[in-house]
Amino acid sequence: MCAAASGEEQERARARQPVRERERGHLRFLTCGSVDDGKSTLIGRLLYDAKLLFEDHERALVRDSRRYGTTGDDLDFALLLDGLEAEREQGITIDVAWRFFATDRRAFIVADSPGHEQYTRNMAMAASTAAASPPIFSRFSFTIFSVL
Amino acid sequence: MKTEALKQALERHGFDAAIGGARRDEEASRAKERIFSLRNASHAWEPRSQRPEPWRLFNTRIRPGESMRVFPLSNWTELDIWDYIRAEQIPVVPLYFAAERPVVVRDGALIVVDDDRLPLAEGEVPEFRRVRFRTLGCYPLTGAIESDAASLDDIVAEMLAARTSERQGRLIDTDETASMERKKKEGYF
Repeated sequence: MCAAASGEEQERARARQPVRERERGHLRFLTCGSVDDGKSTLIGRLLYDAKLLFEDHERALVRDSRRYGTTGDDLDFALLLDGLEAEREQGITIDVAWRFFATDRRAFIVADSPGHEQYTRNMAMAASTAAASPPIFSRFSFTIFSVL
Repeated sequence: MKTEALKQALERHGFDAAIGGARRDEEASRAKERIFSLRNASHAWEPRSQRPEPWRLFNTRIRPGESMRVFPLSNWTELDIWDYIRAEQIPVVPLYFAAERPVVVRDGALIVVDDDRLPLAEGEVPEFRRVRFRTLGCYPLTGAIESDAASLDDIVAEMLAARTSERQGRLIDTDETASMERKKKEGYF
């Protein structure tokens, strides 16, 4: 960086950052834990409960749950994240899904990562970009998240 | 167009990489795609064998015949795009702004009647409505939305209040589940 950059140039460089990021800063976090502990389900549920989904995505969730769901007649929230065909057919996460959402206070990037040991490298990649991870222990994770 | 014509052009000129504007927030399979996305010799995306990109380090080595699709805006959102356009006063095509345009309704989508690429079905009469495009894909496979947003400020305000997703008007996405992924496996951008 040139130390003698004029004020105008600095202002311009600042404007180059996406405005939302500049104003609030992103928190990057990931899910991380064993296979089938509910990582994707947790994030899907979070997006759903916080009303961060668009109507057409909610409709797709109903449709996909009927076809690929692993939760009986209930909505399978993991399907909001597990977007690959192979993931849906096997009912596991294979690669990282990046989701973006914002509240009034800040913006978030969540990397929903796989738990299966075969795909550990994908989880490690997600971790390399994240600043935090909620602890996920099997079904207790829902309780923990509500406390956070 | 973004599959066969793209493949032909890339092969003819032997390009190693093609840069695109796709974002991860657009669609569920795109949410899984790398910034440097490797395509095999037949231009297919292989989602099961993507290269890790730890700490934003990119492995750009390719074998003969392979190529890459590169998506620098992967982590931008729809809102980021319009914020940036507004901040930098970047010119955009007029179709993004609301105007009176002749449309027909097909499968619930508002299809703008522009030229003879859209043969009208029997009994179809175009009517004028105030519409704009939130996203622009292949004509005539992108539906418009009814809108009064005629400026960048209006567009951002409309987006903040939107209850449907950006790509809702893209008929290509909704063929069936995982249709985008399948198209990428065929060589779609």
